[in-house]
Amino acid sequence: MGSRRPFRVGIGGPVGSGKTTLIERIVPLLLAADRSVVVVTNDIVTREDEMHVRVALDGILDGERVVGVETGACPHQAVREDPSMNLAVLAELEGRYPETDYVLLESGGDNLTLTFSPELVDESLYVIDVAGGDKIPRKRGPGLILCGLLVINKTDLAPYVGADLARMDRDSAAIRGSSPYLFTDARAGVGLDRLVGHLELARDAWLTQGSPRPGVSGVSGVSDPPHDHRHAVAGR
Amino acid sequence: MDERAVLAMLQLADSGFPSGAYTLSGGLETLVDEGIVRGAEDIAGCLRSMLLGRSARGDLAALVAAHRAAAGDPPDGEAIVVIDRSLDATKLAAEERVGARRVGRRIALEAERLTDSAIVRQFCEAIAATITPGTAAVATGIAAVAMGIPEHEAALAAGHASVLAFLTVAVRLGRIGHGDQQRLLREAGETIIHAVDIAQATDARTFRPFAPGLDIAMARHETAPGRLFAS
Repeated sequence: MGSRRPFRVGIGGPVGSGKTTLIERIVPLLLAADRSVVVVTNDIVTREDEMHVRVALDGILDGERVVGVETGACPHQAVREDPSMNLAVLAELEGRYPETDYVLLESGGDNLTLTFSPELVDESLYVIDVAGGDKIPRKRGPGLILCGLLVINKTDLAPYVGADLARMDRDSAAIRGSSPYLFTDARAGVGLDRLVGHLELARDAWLTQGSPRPGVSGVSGVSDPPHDHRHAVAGR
Repeated sequence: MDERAVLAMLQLADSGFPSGAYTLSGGLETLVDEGIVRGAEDIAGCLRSMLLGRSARGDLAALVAAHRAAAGDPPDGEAIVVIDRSLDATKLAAEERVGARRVGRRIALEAERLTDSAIVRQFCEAIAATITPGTAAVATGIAAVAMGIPEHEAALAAGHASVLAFLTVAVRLGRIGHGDQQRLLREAGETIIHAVDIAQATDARTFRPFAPGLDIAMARHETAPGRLFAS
């Protein structure tokens, strides 16, 4: 724990929910805050995500700091039951870039049950999008419930797909309890300052106490949400 | 064999042991993609090449040699480094080499957490210091000693684990079902035993794995457009 290695953030969620875009948009914000970052993508079939991130951050983040991991058709296993290959790649990256503050580790997209091994990451985000259906929060997958921060992305699409954001807000509050959730439009940058603020608070707590949440160990349970999620919705 | 050794063998060879080996296809993904391997009998042929062509005089022979070096009194750390480097040098395809190192590192670290073996700790330190590559087979041989698993049983278990992993890849690639998977695993038993016999008779100075079909497939995999697996 503590400062011997970077703060590792897992980013999970269904295919197409915006995980890769989210990473591409928050990396510049972290760099602007003088944080050093590496990115690991767990692609299911190709190295598409790795290449996409490298191209999107060309000139901003050294391409060598973005590494793809093939998961043998099992994205869940690669971040949960047996994260060996991710741990091996992290060891290589952290050895090559010892000054790194953040590792952003994107899971291969899959379903709502995805959680990260607490031996792999220190904090996790679970990203869903409004176009996937406004009933998703009510489906109560472990991915949505146990993550450190639930991100409901693509709020700009709500009017076009008939998604009721107020309903998603109520349902998210119900399943999350005191744990935080956040509405974002990653492509337009809406809500991302709050997301980065959440990561910084979690990292500070981890650096000082070895846990991303004061007084709490493990992956679930959060004290005060670090932000007002409704403000992010209003700010669309 | 001692009951605890049996249980340790089951733990080390189990697909649930966190080694990451399930991410490697050993060239099978490319052979399937290119239409060279289509069904169960083709896969059985690949298994024979893997066991008798590659493993018997490569990975399994290195596992046996590492086991002997680690089980010595005192354990021979220098010999283990020589064995490890020699095996690593026989891995022609980059993805096989990198995959074996990553899996080996994980096996060694898990064994270090599970046991208080000085030779495992020394091996982990040598990997971290890039003195030795840390191949999976050598890590498994040393881990087996630390967990109290005899040489012959450790090699049999590793052979079994490699066959099961290969067949699981075939299932995930949609080439066989669960029934054929289990049939081929059982039928491979005699070949595994034969491969272990060869491995135990192979001199550690003369590793010479030969499975060019699989080597070429792994080399071609590097630039393959579809990549579910890391090799």
